[in-house]
Amino acid sequence: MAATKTSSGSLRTYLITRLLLVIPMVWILVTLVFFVLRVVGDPIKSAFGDRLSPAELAKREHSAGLDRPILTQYWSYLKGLLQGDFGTSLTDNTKISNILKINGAATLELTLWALLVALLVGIPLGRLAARYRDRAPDVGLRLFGVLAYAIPVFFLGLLLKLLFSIQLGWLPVNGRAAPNVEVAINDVTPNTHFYLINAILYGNTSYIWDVLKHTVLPAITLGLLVAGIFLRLVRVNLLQTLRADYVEAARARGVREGRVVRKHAFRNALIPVVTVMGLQIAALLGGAVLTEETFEWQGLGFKLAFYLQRQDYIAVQGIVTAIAVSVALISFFIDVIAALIDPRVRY
Amino acid sequence: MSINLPELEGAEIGAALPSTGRKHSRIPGMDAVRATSGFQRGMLVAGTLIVLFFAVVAVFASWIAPYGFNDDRDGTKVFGRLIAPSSEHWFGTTAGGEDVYSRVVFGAQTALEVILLAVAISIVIGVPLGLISGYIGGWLDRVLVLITDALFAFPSLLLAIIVNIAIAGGTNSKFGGIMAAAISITVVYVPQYFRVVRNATVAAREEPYVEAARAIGAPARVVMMRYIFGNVVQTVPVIATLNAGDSILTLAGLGFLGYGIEPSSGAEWGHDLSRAVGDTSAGIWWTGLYPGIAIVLIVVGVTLVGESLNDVLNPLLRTPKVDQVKLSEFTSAADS
Repeated sequence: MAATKTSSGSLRTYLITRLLLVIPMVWILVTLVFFVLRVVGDPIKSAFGDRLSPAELAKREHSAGLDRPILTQYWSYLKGLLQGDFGTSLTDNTKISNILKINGAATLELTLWALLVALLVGIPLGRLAARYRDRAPDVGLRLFGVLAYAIPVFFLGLLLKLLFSIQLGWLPVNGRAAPNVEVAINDVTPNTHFYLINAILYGNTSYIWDVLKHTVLPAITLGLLVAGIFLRLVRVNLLQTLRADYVEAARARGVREGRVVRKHAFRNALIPVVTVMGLQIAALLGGAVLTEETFEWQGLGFKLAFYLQRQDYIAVQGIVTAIAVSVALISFFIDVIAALIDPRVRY
Repeated sequence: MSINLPELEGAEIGAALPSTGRKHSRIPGMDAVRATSGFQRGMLVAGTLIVLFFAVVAVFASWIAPYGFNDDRDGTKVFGRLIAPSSEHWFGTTAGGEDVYSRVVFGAQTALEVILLAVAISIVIGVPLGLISGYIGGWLDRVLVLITDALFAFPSLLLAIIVNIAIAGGTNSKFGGIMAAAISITVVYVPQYFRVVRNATVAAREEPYVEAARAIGAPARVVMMRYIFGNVVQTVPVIATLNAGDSILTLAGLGFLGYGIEPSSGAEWGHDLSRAVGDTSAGIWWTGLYPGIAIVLIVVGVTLVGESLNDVLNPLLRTPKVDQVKLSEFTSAADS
């Protein structure tokens, strides 16, 4: 009884410490993005400097409050953020919190699909590679891992598009759904902005099929990026676990190698994978930006590229901050999960 | 950013390298090659050859490329737009009428320049910072660790983009070229060197030899430079190699989103690929395929070198063969 008490106590301490670390981290991220982007100067000038007269620029700056001292602006920006107000984009006057809600759902949908692909491809292959260490399957799979890492997502996307959409014509080239489907499924209530869910709510099988077909290539493109990392991780961790004393003991008892891998080593080797998954969220969301741009998938990354081209740094600031903060929060949650399943993490 | 690099202790690497017991070679990297065998050696050699190939292409780009990277004509003869690969244009021409082959060749030059600069600057900043932070400790250390933690949460590409905006002001000036791209990439990788060197320094600080140095009255600067430095930098070459591969991808990502190198001041593969995405819908493959293959090849090359170095240096991953050799030496020594 006493033992369980202390262990749950240390878990609580760990979670609280970890949570307290998230707050300064988020603050650093928000501050960093704000000040780095202001180094350029006034966002209004960057966005409209070549189109508007100096007088008009000054007027807009004043109405947006951008002529106040930088620290005052920073303070009111922070206060806005706490209330979920990310500001309004300069070039098309859209509330950034709306962009985050609508396009964020698209990014989340893509990322979840990609994670699924990555897990389904990476974990079994990593296990295979470790099982046949330094033999042909291992060599082949390690090369595949290196290749999956080395190929830029936009190049992989381009190749897949050329093959499956242009040459074979099996899958659509761009977008999240066919235009008519998109209009229809955005009409359902409640509008989740997750197209698969919306299509299911709409209840038309061919629409669901259309949404799925649009998802295949982007999901594979982004998924393979992370699959290579999972493959490596599972392989390395499994190899290290296979050297552990308890695994050796199992072998000594005469347990067959296949069973040793399957029953004794594999699960323990997966624990570090969960931990590292938290770190991969950043890679996944970074890759999502490029994947969305390649497939014109209307998510946060697509919007980010759109506003970057227009030099609308208020919108850029909002989207970048939102992505960075979600990475920090998601990795916090993954760390919590890791602590729950692995007692060693709790210190 | 995406490579899982187990952190090593200086002592472990020291134990790993001279595993053959032979004298150190004068040729740089030969020791590493000797420590490998079979597939690992194959990876190391293949990777090195690929990297050397790109280095040669980059250095002699002006001789190798038939045309300039920005030329759409040879003298008065205009190439024409989107011409399929032929004997005249091996890789075809782009929508802007430039020779794809020449752009790919000059792209190697841009990549090499940016990567060398980026890796050099990140080492110069990250290593001393880690050394000082780890040795002195205190609030400076805590603040720096917190900041690097925050930077790790940042998708590297986004970090590079906002730094690039800050440096180049979103405009493509001359300075917004190679140097701005290199600095943007640097910001992504400094935290990695910082972390590794800092952790190794914290561990080394408690070692008897450091204590001994302090006891004989060596000032902090001397302890750091003469005693700790040599023991904590051994992982840096591995990280640098792996980062070099990653930074090529970051550069290409920047270019793909329209940042990085101004198209008229240098050829950049990522930028060319962003143009090629539009071409694919018309079934045009050559504008994207060749720059893409170039990126994949060079990153594979650099990664193979980094991975095999990592395998050689990380005692947990070394092939069991090395252990067996040690065992037999031990028993024979005990017999005699």
